Amino acid sequence: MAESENKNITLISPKYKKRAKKTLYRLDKKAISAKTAIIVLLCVILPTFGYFIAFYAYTGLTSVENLTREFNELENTFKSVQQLKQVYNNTVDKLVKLSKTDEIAARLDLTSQPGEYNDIKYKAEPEEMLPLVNMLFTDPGIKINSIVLRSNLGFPVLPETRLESGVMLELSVNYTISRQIQ
Amino acid sequence: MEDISLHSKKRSIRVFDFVLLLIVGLGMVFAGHFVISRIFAGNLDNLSRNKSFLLNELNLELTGNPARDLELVKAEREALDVEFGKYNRNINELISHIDLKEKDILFLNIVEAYLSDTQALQTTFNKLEYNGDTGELLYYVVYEQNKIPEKLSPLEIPNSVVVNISKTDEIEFSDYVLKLVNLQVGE
Repeated sequence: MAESENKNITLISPKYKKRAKKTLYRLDKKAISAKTAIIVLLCVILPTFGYFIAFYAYTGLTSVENLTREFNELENTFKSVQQLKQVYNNTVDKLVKLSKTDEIAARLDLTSQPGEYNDIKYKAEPEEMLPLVNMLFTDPGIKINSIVLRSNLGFPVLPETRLESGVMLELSVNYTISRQIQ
Repeated sequence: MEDISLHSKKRSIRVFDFVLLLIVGLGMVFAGHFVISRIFAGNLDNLSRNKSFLLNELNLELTGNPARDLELVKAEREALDVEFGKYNRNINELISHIDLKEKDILFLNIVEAYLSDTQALQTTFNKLEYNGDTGELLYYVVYEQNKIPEKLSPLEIPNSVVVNISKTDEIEFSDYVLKLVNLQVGE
């Protein structure tokens, strides 16, 4: 009897007494080999780390760097455009202020719209004609394609002549009014 | 008595511990991911704060996605490049227009300089022709009989200008000498 009882008794060192009493759950009861566990852990964590940390950090850093560089280039381009725009607008403004295309057009009985004006004839006394010719030559909004100015006097009036000359000047001009300077 | 070895030589790990390790490992990875994403978000915030003036001027709004924002900024820069090219072209056109205008004004200055001859008693304009490149002026100069200079004496004009006096006729009166001058400017 004592011998058969002894057969069913398992002796445990007092050191492991607590552990032996511990309630075992389903996951506690099963075990896998350490080698398999390490391989599975590495197989799961390394790719996750690679994708969510290494790849994400690399792409993110590259994107932020590219974005910063692109922003700096955008800023430089924007400044260049603004400077160019300012220079262009200031220059055009100054030229527009100097331009008297309206006055010229009014004298020649034409419009001052941009475009080509060909075969324009005008006849006037020198006092009236010379300022007009001067304006045609100096107006920044007008490009002279060709101009012919003739005096109706075939000979010069000598200094002692007191008679009125009756000189008339004939103007024939082709010009273009600029689209930019308006 | 049966002998039980509590220290098996075959190392094993409980599934519970394994699952715990897996969760901790993955948790650390995702926490790292979150921290990195916060850092990038902070960088983007700083960038958009630093460039807020530019963004306002260009009416741009960042989405927070660096790749999409990069495309947005690139497209905007390309649009600005086109605008830059347009203004550049306009300025070049303006410069060439002003260059032509300078030639017109130079021709007028030459005409005025020759018609204001310093030695002549009088000059009388007869004909002027100009086509943008070359010009021609025909005029009379009147001198006193005994004070005829060797050459024309116009007011000062730039030296670089090519002026050809191609033809001169001369008529003598009792007190005056009259010269017909044909002046050609340009080549």
